[in-house]
Amino acid sequence: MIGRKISVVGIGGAGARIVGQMPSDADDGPITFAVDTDTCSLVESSATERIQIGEVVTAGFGTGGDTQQGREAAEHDTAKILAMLENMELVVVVAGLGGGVGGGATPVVLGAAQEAGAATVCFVTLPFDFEGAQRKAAAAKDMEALREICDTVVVVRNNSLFESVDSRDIAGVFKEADSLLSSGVYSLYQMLALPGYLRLDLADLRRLSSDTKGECLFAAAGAEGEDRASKAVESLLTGSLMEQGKLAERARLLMLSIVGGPDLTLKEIGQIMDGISSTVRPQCRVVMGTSVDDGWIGRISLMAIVGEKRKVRPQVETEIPQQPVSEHPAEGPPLSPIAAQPSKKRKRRPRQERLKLEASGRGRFKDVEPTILDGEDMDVPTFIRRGMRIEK
Amino acid sequence: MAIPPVVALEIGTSKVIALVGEMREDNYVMITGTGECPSKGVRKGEVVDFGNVSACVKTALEMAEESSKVAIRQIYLTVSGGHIQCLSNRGTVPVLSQEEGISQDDIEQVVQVARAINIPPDRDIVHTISQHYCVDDQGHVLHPEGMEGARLSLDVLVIHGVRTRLNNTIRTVQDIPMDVSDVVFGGVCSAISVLSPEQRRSGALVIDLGGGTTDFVVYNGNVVTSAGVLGVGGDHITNDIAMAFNVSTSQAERLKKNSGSALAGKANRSQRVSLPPEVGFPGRSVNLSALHTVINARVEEMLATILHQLESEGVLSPIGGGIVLTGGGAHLKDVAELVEQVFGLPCEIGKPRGITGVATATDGPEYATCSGLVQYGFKEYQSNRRGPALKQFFKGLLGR
Repeated sequence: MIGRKISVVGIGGAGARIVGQMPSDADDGPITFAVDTDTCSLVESSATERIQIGEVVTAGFGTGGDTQQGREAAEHDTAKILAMLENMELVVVVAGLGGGVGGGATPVVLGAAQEAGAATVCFVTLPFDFEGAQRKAAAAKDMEALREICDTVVVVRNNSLFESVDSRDIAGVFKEADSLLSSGVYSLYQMLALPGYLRLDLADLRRLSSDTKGECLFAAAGAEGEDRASKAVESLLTGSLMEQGKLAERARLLMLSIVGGPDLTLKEIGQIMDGISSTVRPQCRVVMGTSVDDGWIGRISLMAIVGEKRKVRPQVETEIPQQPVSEHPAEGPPLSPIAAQPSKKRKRRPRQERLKLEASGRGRFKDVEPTILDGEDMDVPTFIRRGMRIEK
Repeated sequence: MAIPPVVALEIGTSKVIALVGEMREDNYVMITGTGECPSKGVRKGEVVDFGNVSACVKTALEMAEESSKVAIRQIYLTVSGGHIQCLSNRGTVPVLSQEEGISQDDIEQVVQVARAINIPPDRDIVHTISQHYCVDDQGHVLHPEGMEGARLSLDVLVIHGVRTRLNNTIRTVQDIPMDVSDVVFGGVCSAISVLSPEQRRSGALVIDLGGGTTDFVVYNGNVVTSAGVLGVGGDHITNDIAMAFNVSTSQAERLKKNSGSALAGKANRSQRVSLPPEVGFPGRSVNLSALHTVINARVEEMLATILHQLESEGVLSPIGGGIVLTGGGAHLKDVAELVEQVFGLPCEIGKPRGITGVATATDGPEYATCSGLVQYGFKEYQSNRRGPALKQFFKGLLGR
């Protein structure tokens, strides 16, 4: 029985692997798709349906990390993608950012999903630190593109994902990390599609995305047997995906899905919610939902999507050029010979310096003592602190 | 003997107001002179630019002198600011003579004990307000004199603020030079002005939405049971709008006054308000529904903060007279409805009562504080004439 038409699409190597891990064999599982240019990765994936894109562009190989190629490949096969997303209500896209297909094809697939009239949720992983600054920068750029087009982007940092894995050998580590992510995606599916008495639905998800400017973090945990509720909530809150609980403390919004078997009791739900509410700040909005899966007897899976407290725009400062260009614009050429050298080599186009943007957002109250209540600077506009989107 | 006129001065964040009041027959207060000057150098109810504020005060007082034909030498002054807080304290004394019952001496003693309160050394008491007496286990005694009992206690509410900041406000006036007869917390003045005797008895919350601060006072059983200041006011709403839509402060102010609403979701999503072009500004339009969302978020947060604080003190439950909203912020469209939504209590816009005279002074909610202070001045004058012992009960004494 499927109440809502939901499909999970894994894009690129990582996406195809994660989707392949989903328990899609059950009758009531979601329809899973793996989309990639590389035939090898498609063959390995056990998704319900596998779709090769860009046969003409890459001839069945990978893209070699070229986002442009990934995009071209997807655009080439838009018809295939549209056909697979027909009649869907929700499309959950899973992809690893920083790669060619993951970064390039994902926006195209999301665009197609929107065209098909489906809501979109995107689970994306960000590359490891050791993968280099370039890949990180590519991922950040992909992120920008996704934020434009996707309703909700849920971010998983590979670094913290892998910290939460016990295995030592590389195959085991990846397998566990993939299964953690896929179980998270699966519980989102369970939440939305399976019967439950306290339901979360697409509207909650949409509200979450509009309140967080479409970017949230993800954490999942599960437990079995005796005391499963308290065990599960503890491992959720102290896990590395929650940054050992720090994330929960600064959360502004927390959406929690509890999936249990028919033996899930109200007391257990109470235990879980007590654990959550004793950790988060009182201002944090917590929405929860439970669903019951017949196959989950004796088990509890928790999945949290967390919207963070808005940070004071750290990226603004990095945009400011560090070199002291035009510090004394009226004094003619720079006096220091070291500073003058590059201008001889290459004619530098005169550039308009950007004034340092005020990072605090306090406006006219910047030079008076701030009014701090419960750790919040009341002088900063409420809509900024709450991360509300204001149409100009 | 003719009662001398009372001059009230409010150094507000948005304007300095001076009112001259005279007591007429039947204890009716008539405003005979007004002075008003847009305020410069006040942020969030506190003086930040001494010279500018002094000039504004002078202008306002001169205007008041001119219109009232009274030479002003002495004034009553209101204070506000986010540093003002309240706390309640209980003093207990043994009754001296069991046979004769509680005497006037016992009462004076317990007042002394209750007022001897430990507040941080950098703070001054603005008011001590007697709540009610307790004789042994019997609470809520109004007049204990003559009653029998072993112990007499008194609960007082102490309103206090940071000494240097209170003094800065006072000093701007003293430097003119001008004598300050008394300093009164602005919220108390507003409450005196806007509440009916019935509301004061059955309990009411007064919220004064000022330019830089929001003062709130809870009345119950004819006494102030809680008071406080939130250092957030109408200026914050304006600032929020200016930042949300990248417009100047004056344009934001105009948007707030002409098109603003405290309730979000009332406007059509596609409706826009246009800002006319000015010198150096090409003119543009702003989404009305987004404007309301920005205002709603701020005002709702301010109200929720007050609600949270009062709920934790437990003073809201016995309120029967509802909420009275006053101050310039009460002009904001739909704000009373938002207050009703947040507090779940009926809300009305309070205008100065029991006062007549120059039309503007008796009209708008922004004059509530100052006209309340005029009334306070006369009350104090009358209680002073009745005797110093009574003065201690009725007057909010300044602990300086």
